[in-house]
Amino acid sequence: MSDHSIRFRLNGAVVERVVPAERLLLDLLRSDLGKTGTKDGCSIGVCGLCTVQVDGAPMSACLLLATQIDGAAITTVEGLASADGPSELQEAFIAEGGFQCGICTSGQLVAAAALLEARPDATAAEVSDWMMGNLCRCTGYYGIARAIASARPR
Amino acid sequence: MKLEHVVSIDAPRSRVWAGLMDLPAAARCVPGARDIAADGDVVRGTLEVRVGPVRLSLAGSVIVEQRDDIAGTARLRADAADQRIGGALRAFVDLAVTGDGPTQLRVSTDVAILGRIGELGQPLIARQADKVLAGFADCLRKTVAAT
Amino acid sequence: MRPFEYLEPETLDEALALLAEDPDDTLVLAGGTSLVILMKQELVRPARVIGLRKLAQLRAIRSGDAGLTIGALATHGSLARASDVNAFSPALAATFAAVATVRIREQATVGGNIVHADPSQDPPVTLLALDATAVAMSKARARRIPFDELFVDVFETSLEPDELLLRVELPALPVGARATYKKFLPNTLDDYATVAVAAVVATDADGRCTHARIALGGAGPVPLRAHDAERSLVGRRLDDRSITEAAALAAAATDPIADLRGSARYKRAMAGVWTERALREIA
Repeated sequence: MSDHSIRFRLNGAVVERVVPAERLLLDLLRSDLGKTGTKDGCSIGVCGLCTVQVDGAPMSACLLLATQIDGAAITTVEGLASADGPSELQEAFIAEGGFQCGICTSGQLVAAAALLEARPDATAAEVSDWMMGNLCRCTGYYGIARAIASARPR
Repeated sequence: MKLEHVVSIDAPRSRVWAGLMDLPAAARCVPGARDIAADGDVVRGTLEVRVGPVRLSLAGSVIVEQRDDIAGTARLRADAADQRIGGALRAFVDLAVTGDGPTQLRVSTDVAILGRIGELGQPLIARQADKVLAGFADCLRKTVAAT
Repeated sequence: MRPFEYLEPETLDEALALLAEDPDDTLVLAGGTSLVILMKQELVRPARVIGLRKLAQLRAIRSGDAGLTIGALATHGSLARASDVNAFSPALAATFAAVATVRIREQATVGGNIVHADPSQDPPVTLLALDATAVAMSKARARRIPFDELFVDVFETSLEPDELLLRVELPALPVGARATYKKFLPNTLDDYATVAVAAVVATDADGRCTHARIALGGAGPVPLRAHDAERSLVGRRLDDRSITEAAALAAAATDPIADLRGSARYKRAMAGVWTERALREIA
């Protein structure tokens, strides 16, 4: 019923778009912008599949209206790697077996990258607390925990 | 889902029973009821229910399916549909009065909830039913006392 | 989600004026973690949504001699990290850190949490035990509402549809007061509490209790104060006997709603158990 002009950074690049008021960030990313790395899971903010960073903070793209991120810097899984290849964290997920089926992986990576940025000295307990909202049905979490521990700056 | 309520009404059994069996008057005693109108044996009306920001407007009908004045028992059937969020309910309500001044009214409800109303969840729906019944009993007490 | 008209006022006056135009068909969006779900499920279908994110002054967290003031738009994450909050009461900071998951804490605001009035939420319980007062405003007037009078029923507060919650004020705690927040999570750590207890006590030089607050979450349709339990402690030493008695009185004050997290009877019993644990911790 109302359209809104929004402008934000997506993985460093400026995006300008007109969106209807009811457009979710998740749908904006996946359907409008073709960034399908961010997955749709429970749709109620519980599972963590759609985790993105909003100005560095992890949030659920399924619970955000696109209008709410006007002016913000959004990081999705597509923004983690560089031209040189996967990030250290992504390499660690591969080395440590931090995924199996892969559906939760982009959310896990985006949440873990936010943690390493915000709290590089986090204890194992703090890592668990931060990551507990990113559910994985395959790995039993040990691989994910090992990957994050090995990617932590020493 | 099944709900069970027992309320005590400090009035003679005959008057409580008469109050209940005057279906349009009894329906007006339900908190949130509006536009109550008798249409033959059927009573039609709308029940407005509010749970925080969620508002329901249940339009429907109630009819007495069985009635035994000697035993003081009756079975009502209610059907209602909500136009606001979408959904419907069908309830069978067994009424039984026992004792006499004070009179005990037992209300046993078996309600089927369809559509989006179910998203509210059983605990909240049961609680809402408790509130509606408590309000109904208060109103019935006043109505019966006035007759 | 049904289409709606979205409005983003730049000032508080503008927000209150917009809200006053059509309060019954307008909903207010703070963080959005609850409202967006309700709109997606189409349980609510507002004609208009007012987004508050441009009202930066409502994010302020301030402490002084008079106590602590928390702006309604402060996120749980910012409150859990704020040195002012931790200095005022580590238990309050821990309460904000105990909410859901990091994603929810970063997006959801304390004001949104309070007006949503889910009786299983964490912050209202500790705020109630800390004698919080809500400050609300409509176009016509400003109003102070003690937390004791704020929560009316499940998902219902005593705020009027045209009122905005601006901030929460907490008075300075008695000297030497100790507080704790206990959240009973038998299922998963990101769940709502089966029951939760916030307790605050202060004692005099003889170890006799001079101040007691016990608030319970998940134990009724609204966050509850266990007034009888509090009264039973005042003037006594916090020993096995007074603590067990207070815990029994706290359990008796509950009116739990049975749900997937436990039957009413179980929640009542657990309210007693966790009140006892809370009191032992700060005795």
